[in-house]
Amino acid sequence: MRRPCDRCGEREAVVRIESLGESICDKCLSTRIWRRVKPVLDREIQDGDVIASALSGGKDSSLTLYYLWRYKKESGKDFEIIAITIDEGTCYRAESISKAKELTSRLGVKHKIVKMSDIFAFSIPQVQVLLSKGRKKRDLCTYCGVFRRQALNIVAREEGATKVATGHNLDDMVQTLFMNLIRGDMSAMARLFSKSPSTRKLIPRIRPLARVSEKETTVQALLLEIPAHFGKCPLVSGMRVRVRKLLDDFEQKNPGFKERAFKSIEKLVKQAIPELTYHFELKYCKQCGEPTTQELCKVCQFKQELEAMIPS
Amino acid sequence: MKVQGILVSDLMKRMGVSPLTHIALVNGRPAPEDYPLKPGDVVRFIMFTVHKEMGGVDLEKTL
Repeated sequence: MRRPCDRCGEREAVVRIESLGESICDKCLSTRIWRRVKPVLDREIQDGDVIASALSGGKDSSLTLYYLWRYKKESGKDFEIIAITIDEGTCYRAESISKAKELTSRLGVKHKIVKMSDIFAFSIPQVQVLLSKGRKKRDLCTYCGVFRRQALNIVAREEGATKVATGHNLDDMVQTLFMNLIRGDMSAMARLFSKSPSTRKLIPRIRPLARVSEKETTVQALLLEIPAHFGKCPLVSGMRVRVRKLLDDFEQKNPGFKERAFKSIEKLVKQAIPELTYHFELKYCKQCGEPTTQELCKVCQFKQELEAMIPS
Repeated sequence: MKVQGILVSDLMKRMGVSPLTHIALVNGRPAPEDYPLKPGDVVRFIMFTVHKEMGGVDLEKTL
């Protein structure tokens, strides 16, 4: 054994966790992650739930589905799992969908694949073409994220889901917090920590990997040999990339920064939630009827913008 | 490349690969940055996150 685990000393180390100053083995990594994931599942999943697992076919959503499946086997709770894949129509999605199919078939989980263009009449490549010709100051990822979120909620609702599980990891969560901070959107920060109001139309979300770093989810997915696509979206752009680089540089110089920042902001925001969400009221879009905080939901606003860009 | 006595992190530096965006697979298995390499080891890097825009339309630059 050339590099023993710093924790158990018994097995070979597979990953370096800088915040701990340790290199740990597959078993210690698995235990460390499960200790963070299981309490979320214990708290959020009840008998009778139907959990829609948002499955892109990437490592994080695939690992989330795997943990839901494992929890169903081990917990004794009586709940159902359905995997939902939203196909944005990008060339990159084809490989991840094939991995998603492989995983759901291996786990014996029902899998629903829906094309984004069947719901909104726009695919992401079509949006990209319109943006390249228009003069809108918005990133492609913003459109993709908004359309995907609503599509997921619609399909989950149609499938009778009571909760939607997403693959957001610690890095995603901290990036979102800082992006909201940069935009000055405190109410969005508060919504990240408050329980989403469960209504007939809005399916509450759970994020089992919210306290697990992206490096750890990657190594764990590889060790478990989970069929997952490790490629990156070729269209990625925008503020998130810049914030990610900034936070990663900071993490390198201050190991453990992300975890501490997440915990501190969570503590602060949770105390201030009643104040921050005082004016928060869930409405229904006057155009499509989907849940929103405004008169017109983001999807309808974006669709209007895009329709205005179509050359007559 | 001579690897006797060097660590995965040294190889990453030499190849311009950041541990913030990549993990190493040594002989097909994930390995920490302080893993000592030996001759004959096959090292592959997997990118797990992106630090630069890969395409799309960055209108902030073009406006």
